Amino acid sequence: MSEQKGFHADMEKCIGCKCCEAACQDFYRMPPEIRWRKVRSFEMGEFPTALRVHLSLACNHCEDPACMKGCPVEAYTKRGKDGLVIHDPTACIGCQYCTWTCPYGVPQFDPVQGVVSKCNGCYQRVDEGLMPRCVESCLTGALSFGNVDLHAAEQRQVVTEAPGFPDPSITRPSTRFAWPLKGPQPDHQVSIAPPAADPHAPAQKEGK
Amino acid sequence: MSAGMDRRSFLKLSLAATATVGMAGEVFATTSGQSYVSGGPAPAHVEPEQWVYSTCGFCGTGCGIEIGVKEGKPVAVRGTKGYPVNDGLLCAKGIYQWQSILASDRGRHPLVRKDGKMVQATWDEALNTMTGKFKDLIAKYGPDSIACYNTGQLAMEEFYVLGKLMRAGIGTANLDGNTRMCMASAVVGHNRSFGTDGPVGAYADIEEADVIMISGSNMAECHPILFGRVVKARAAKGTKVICIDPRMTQVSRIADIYLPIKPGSDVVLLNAMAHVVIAQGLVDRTYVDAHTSGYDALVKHLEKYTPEYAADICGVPAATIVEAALMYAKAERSLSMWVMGINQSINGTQANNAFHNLNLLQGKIGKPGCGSFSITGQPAAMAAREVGGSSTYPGYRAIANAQHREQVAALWGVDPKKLPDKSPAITEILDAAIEGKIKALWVICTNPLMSLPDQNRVRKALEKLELLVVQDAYETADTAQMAHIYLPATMWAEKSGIMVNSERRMNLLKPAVKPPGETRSDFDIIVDVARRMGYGELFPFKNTAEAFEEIKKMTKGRPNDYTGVTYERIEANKGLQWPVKDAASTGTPRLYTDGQFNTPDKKAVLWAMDPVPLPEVPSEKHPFMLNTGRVQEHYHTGTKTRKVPQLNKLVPTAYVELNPRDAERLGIEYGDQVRLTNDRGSITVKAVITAMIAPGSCFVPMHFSEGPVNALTVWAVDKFSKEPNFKQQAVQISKA
Amino acid sequence: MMNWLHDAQYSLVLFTLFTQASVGAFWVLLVSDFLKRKAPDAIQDAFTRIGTYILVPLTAVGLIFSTTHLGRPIYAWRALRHIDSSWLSREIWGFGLFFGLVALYTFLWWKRINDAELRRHIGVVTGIVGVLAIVSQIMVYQIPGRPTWNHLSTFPLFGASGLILGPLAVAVVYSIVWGRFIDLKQGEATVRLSHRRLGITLLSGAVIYAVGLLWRLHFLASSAYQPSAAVAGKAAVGAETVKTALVIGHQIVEANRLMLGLQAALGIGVPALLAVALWYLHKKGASLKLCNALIAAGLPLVALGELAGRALYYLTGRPWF
Repeated sequence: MSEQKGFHADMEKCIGCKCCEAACQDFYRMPPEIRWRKVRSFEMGEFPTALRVHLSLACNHCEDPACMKGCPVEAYTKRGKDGLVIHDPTACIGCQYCTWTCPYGVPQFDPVQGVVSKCNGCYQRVDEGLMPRCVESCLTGALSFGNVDLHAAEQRQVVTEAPGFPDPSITRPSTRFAWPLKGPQPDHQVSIAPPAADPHAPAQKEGK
Repeated sequence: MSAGMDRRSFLKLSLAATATVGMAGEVFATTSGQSYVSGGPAPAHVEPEQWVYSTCGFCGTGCGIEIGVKEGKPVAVRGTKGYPVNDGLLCAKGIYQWQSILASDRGRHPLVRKDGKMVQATWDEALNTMTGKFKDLIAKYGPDSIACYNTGQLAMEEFYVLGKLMRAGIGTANLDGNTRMCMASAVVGHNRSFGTDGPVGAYADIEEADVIMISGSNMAECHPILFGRVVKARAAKGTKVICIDPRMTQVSRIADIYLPIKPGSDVVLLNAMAHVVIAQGLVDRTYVDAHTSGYDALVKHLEKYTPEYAADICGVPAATIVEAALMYAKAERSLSMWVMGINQSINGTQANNAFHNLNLLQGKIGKPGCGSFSITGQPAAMAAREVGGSSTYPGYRAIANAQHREQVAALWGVDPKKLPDKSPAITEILDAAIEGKIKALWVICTNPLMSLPDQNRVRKALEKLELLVVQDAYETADTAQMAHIYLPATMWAEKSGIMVNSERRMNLLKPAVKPPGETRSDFDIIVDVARRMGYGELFPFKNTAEAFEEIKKMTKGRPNDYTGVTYERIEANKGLQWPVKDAASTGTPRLYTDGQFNTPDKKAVLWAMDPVPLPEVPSEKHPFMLNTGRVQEHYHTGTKTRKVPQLNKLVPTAYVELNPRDAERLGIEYGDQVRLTNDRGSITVKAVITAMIAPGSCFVPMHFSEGPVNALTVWAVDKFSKEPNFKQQAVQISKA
Repeated sequence: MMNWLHDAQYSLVLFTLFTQASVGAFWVLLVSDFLKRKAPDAIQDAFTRIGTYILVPLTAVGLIFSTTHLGRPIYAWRALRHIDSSWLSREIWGFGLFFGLVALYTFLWWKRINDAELRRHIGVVTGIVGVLAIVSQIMVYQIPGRPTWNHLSTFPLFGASGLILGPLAVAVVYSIVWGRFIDLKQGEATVRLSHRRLGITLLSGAVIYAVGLLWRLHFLASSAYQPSAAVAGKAAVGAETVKTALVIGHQIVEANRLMLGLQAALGIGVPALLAVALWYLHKKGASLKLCNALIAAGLPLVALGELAGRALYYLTGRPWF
């Protein structure tokens, strides 16, 4: 493959505003239940040093897409020129197998339409030289998109792992991350845990 | 902390946290009838035929938008590229707002209550009933038996004609807006410190500043576009952020210094910061001597506000207070931004003045990257303040100022004696309604039953009225359901006019789509009411543009001078920041750049202040401190955003945020129904367990009529601004 | 309830159980067919022949339930397209072929009874296709995308289901036809023999199933409750995330102990008890009617246990991210 395009999500810059989600969903006129891009929130620590961080994820356009391998009807294709994984709902029979094989919950089944659909990386826009809608609509510059090899030059940090993000060795996703400055770090795992349980502590005097 | 924690509870928590993304039920309901299957991998994107220039109808950020129109209907909204506020970006609410125009509960016809039921009526019937009753009441009880409660979401011209009708026409003092709920403390704070109202700075200061202190503002959720600019500035040039908030937010996450103060202790903290600035010799004496008054008294007053003293009251270490004060004061350019956490408080006005103090002490007013910035909550709240839509006369003229009233009377050609010299707040108006002094209330584009404190008291007041007229886009709005007369109004995308954002930027509304049914613009309705009341000669306007010409005359020479503004110039310049003194001016980013303030002696006032105690603190009976506010997916009472299925899916219903410690103690788990109770009321909402809220505190958003947090809020107001104290009340929490 | 059925993948529960039962039943009949190759026995042939009646319906019902799971069942045939890399495609090929071959095998029993060699050849092919289909079916669940399923214990579990349900179904058919279509006296010896074999099959099925279940439970529990020091209280990253999925799976099992109990008691206990009872009753020379009654009562109980177990299997495969 000549090139693999993918998203980069900077968790320090992400404020969880869900504009990426909304822009995508609005642009493609998806029903409320189907969100090709989803912002996940993770919380850790204890007030007033707790940390809530966000992970904005859509399709990871994997190098080894499990969805495509498992799909019985060949609804998935991976583009040679940029590695985007495209799902064609017209071919889909709604067996939902890809919703199992994808560890990231990317393909989503819509019982009303009877098919699965997923983020196609706005490939038509990409072909026109535009950015995907989510990237274009990001308020903070937390999301970017481009050749995976080029992220390193532009981003503070480029790692393949993110908190809770399923093992990248499964499908070799193309999404890369920069971790929040506070809290856990990719090379040095820090405790992500809820407050130590002290159920009898008086509520009023804590944490101030 | 990891020691006491096993994997299982971590997982439980992380699952719960993930679940906050969508706590909806599992029931599927599809709204878009269109299939995205047929399009293949190219789904059902709808490309509008035309994009119409407009202004966002949500918060006071005032983003430039373009409304995508296809076959006369809105199909999309996008940010205006190159617009100085948002440069093509929009928040989630903004993106989806076209859907709220198409909501099925848009009023299409006037409704009049007959035998207890609302029935369809003609405009003639509805307006004649209304004005007939008004006239009767005026004849019987005088003009002060009539009140009007409006909004921060009309166009400037509409506020103007409304103010003129109520004050110069009917002659009632009882005109207030829901801007009382958000901006009153900022208004009075500006008045007291600078002589008149009007935010000092510009959004461009965000990029210019070295330090930004964000207080009492969940800017990340409530003004996401502005916070996006903060985050970008921070990434680009390392701008430092100080966050003052009892509740953890994304602002506190990115903050270099986070001060999780005890609820309501902001004045003490700010006084202590000013104390540090003085004690460390960081005062700009040249500026202070030349442009402020009250310095010596302030220095003396602040002696007792040592960091140690404040640390005790605010619950943050003295060293952190000093660190924050020094970070703020030692920076060349530092900017304070705040919203409702400061304003909606019994000490709101004083806290505003405390920010102004801090900045005035260092001459950080009217300079790039510096200043005091109280962000507004509604898209045209500023317009209401500027042209007499609520508690002012047009041109920032004070109600109580006889000279100002004479100027206005002369411009309007009415007897100055007719113009009211006071302006009661909505809380006073409703108390007067309960006492039977006010007989009729005209509610325009706001939902007081949901948004005012102490819902049961509000309901009692509304029930007491002989006539409740509700003029709104939605006939199902909670207050509209109590109305005797309902008047269907058009929405922002269906009419023309001017809105003004937090940085004094005037922007244009253009009618982009056809309004549904027989709806009429608020401007038309108000002018029609005026004519039916017999004040037609005061309203010789055929359209909003003609009214704006009169407004310009009213503001000429005033701080908010619009002389050089026309609709065309606004669009061409992508908004104009007033004052715009002539047609050559491209607006004024910052006020008071010359240190000349609008006080009689042209000096800003440094106020020596002590906060008053909170109206309510947690007790044994009501052990939790209840805070209220918004979420990013919804706006105010949800009349618009809850019509958008995509937004409603994200945050579908009312909830309370509880600290995991408290939840564990009370045996409450994520998603449980819990009851919040105090002497004023009780609500049942879902529990969301999060460490972002302090132990002993809880937070409920205000958007949900099924769990109306304002059933619990306290009826207590700031003595200067009369702004209610929404952020601190005591409640008891139990599993429902 | 609808949501629960949806989460428990009722379509797939029925699809997998019916197809596995049909393969199990087929193998019983095929083995009977072969055992009598050297010494033809008209009575046993009559039993086997009638037994084949259930193969086509069992497989057909299974296949029908495979399509009710689809969003667009009318395009179900398209699932055959991706045989080169999709185990799901292979599974559908497998059961599609199996269905055709079973129909052919049944046809040969009924219309070409004398073509025994051809029938047995076809039967061997059918049996192999059936086993391969079940292997494909199991491979469908060997996916890292759902860690709770991605475990070899699915082999014994799915295999044992076929081994228990198929023969039991055949035995019930035998008990029904015996005395109605086949003379009581003449059939007695065959029925007695079949019961002995059924007992052995059920016992081995129950053992395999029990091994599979314990293996699976151990798999779900091991990651969840023995976190190493390096794992405890840390952010789940990379391979660690898989363990969080297993924790979820384990929590689901814990929350559905009733189903687990049904699975163990009815899915394992009943066939084992039945095996013991048959052995004991035959040893004591008890009435065959009593044995048949026990078998007839056993099938629905075992089926309930299998349903509960399979539904729990699907419930544990919840999305984990």
